[in-house]
Amino acid sequence: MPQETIQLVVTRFHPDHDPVPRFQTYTVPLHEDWVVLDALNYIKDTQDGTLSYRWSCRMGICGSCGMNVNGTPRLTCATFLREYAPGPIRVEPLANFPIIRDLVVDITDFMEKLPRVQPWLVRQDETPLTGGEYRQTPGEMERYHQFSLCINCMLCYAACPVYGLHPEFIGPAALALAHRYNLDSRDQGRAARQAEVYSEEGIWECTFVGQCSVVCPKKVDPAGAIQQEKVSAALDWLKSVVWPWGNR
Amino acid sequence: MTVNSPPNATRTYRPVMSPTWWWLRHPAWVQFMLRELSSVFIAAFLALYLARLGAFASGPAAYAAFQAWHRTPLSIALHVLILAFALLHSTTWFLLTPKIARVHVAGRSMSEKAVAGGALTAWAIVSALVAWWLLG
Ligand code: SF4
Ligand code: FES
Repeated sequence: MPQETIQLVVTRFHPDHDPVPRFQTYTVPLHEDWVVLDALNYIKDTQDGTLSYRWSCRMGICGSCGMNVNGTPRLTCATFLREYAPGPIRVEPLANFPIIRDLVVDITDFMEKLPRVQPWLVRQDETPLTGGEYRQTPGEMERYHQFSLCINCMLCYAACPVYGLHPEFIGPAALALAHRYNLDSRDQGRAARQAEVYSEEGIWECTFVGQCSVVCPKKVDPAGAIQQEKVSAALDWLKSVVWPWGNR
Repeated sequence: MTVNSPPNATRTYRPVMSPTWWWLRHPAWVQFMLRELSSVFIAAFLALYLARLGAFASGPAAYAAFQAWHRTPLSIALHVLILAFALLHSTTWFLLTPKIARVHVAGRSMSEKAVAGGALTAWAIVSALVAWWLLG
């Protein structure tokens, strides 16, 4: 007889009652087409209305449903229960972030880090709107396109032990976004981003564990972005040594 | 492991990672640690090689003693371990190459598999040539 239910072991934390998080086990139907988020919604609707978690689009685009599933960061709207049969499935809040309640984490740190790398087109010679758009060839776009697909789900931060051990690390997604703009032919902001990106808290904190790129649901490859920025930074340094009077 | 309650701020629970044993929590992190540890064995091999040169410079007796030590089970076990870590070191290194170097051919970027596959193949060919030259 096929398995009909599966157990979810879910982190519960209420700041008023729990000194530390605890686990609560729920049993849900194991439907072929149910994802972990469906199971959480089922629990909230039929078993326990107090369970708190974030979600919105249910289609892998809003980036709000990230949780650690059996220890690995996943978008719960894109993670099928059947992958984990016979279970149980451990559902925890995204690692490395402070827990506000149950599966909801405090993302303030990430929100503060993002603007520090100036993830927008920085221009030295701003042309007026009447001048039209900044043109770009498909080839020029291809160079950065992959790095522009980030949905800010923060799975990469949860997968990064360096961020867990050194929370001052700017982190994978923000650095990948800096790389995305550095590669953009319309952008002139690489020098302006340097102080943050090429700092101890920036790319040089990364030890290339590479797990950020493995968990990224959008194949952004933040680990690649960071190593490529390291190469650029090293080349800058080399140029400054052999050609100190050059226009860097 | 505390519940923080700064004034006017959300009270949150901050998970703490063990600074020493954090890597045991995920298989991928164990793999990473093995990869990093492999450098130690590469360094050990280079140290042994320098010792060999030192013994060679000190004359036939010293070199013969060094050679004799190399036939002991301890030395053989050590070298098997070094070989295993050298293979791990080189394989992971070449597999990570495409993350660092984007290769563009005719205006299109090559896939990661193609770059890593090319690097691994080149490595195998060069290793085979060196082995043939040394042992042949
Ligand atoms: S880089 Fe990937 S894992 Fe990280 S926030 Fe963006 S989409 Fe999510
Ligand atoms: S609910 Fe939007 S990404 Fe999962």
